[in-house]
Amino acid sequence: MKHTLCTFLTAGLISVAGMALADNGILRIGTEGDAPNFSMADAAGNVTGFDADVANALCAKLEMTCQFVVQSFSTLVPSMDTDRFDVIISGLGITDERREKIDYTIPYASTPQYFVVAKDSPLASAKDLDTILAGLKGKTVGVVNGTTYARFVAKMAPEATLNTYEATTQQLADLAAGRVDAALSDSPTWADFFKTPESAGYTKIDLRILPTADHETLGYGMGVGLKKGNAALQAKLDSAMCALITDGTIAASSMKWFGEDYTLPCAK
Amino acid sequence: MTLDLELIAMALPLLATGALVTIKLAAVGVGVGLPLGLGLALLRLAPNRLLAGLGDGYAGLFRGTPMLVQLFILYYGLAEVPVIRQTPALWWFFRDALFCAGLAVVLNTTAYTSEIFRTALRAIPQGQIEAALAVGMRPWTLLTRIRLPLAFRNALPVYASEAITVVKETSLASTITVLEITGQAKRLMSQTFGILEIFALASLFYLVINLACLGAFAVLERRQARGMRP
Repeated sequence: MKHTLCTFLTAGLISVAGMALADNGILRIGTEGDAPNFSMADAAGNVTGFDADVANALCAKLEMTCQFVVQSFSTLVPSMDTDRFDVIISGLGITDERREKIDYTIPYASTPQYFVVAKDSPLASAKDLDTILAGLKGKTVGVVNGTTYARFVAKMAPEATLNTYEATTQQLADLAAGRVDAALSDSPTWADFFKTPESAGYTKIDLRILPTADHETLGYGMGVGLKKGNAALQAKLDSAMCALITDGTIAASSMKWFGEDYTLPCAK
Repeated sequence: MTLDLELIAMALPLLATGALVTIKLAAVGVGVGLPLGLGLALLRLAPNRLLAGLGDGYAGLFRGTPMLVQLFILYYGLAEVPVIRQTPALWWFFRDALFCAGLAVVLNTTAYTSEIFRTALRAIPQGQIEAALAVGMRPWTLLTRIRLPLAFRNALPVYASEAITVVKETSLASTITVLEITGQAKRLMSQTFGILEIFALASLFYLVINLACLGAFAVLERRQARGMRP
């Protein structure tokens, strides 16, 4: 049944692929370029990672050419408004607040998040979210500005001091320097951090923080962001995404980059 | 678009909190940077060529590199140096983002201020100096009674410009987690996406601070000019 639906969607897709989606068959993609394994830009402007795979797979399905635009995460949504690019593929979490500004495709993946603290912190052995949030009272927590988990900490631990960074690398540098008591980020960021010698004195609190902990701030998983009111493009991206989820393309890329399958089932 | 009053009401108190931090940083920049810059200008004009060269080197280094880069070296870079992290007094200072930002502002404005006063001191007509020497003034008296007052009067309009540059430069502190006006605005931007309202308000805060600053310098300038005009 699922297979039939996807075949149908793909057939529909191919029939409209002849029509230009955006100008010249180029899909401009806004991405952070500074998030290890998601979106990594090199000096030449080439982008690799899970986001790049998703983008390239979408472009291939839509028979378009991907063109990446790399900017800091917090400026992505405002810049799409000013037409710097057509879509955002940057592990962008779907939230109610962002939905007021932009539209989304169906969610395709969700990354588990973890707190990291010093090994000798009383929170290191915490087992549930309430204990962690209560323990953060009066502590400094490092987050990256503009992320869903920055809002999660601001809402759920209002008595913690929030240190906001422009990029993940800066957040990790300050964690390693001991300037923050705890930091919240996603699984792949921590996997990379724990490969570095700076991480020696730190540990991940063994509790997966999923969107279910607070939909209002953590959203519903990640989707491709696009400008409001572009129903035609949205429908095409949705069907292409559904096909890529169902045929295992996204899962294969997730395993390749994260060693974990983050794929969410196609909800169509 | 319509003006979002609710958003403005939410942003105002946060931006005002940020404005206090901006004023604090700028006050340190002007309060510490002005005397240091003046000292550096005198050093750069010293007859001792080694001292003058050191002063020139400092001014060249800080005027020749972007403040954002200096800020990253001071905040993220030095935090990777074991000696700094293991020396309690040093780490007490460099652990604090606000201290690092204040230091960067002072280091920068000192370099620019020295250039302003070096030029002003050199612009004093030789005749004035000779007249002072002719009446038997010692070098210290010459400096405090003739050279500095004259240089100050010449430099004031340019220094006013430097002072408001300092106010604007403090916005770079937002990149190292300091929540001054721009830092608060960036955080509000990512929470509300009301980019126009928030940054228009942020500009307004900077504008008010800088106009007040320029006003104060205009008053000072008029005082300095007293007795100059018929």
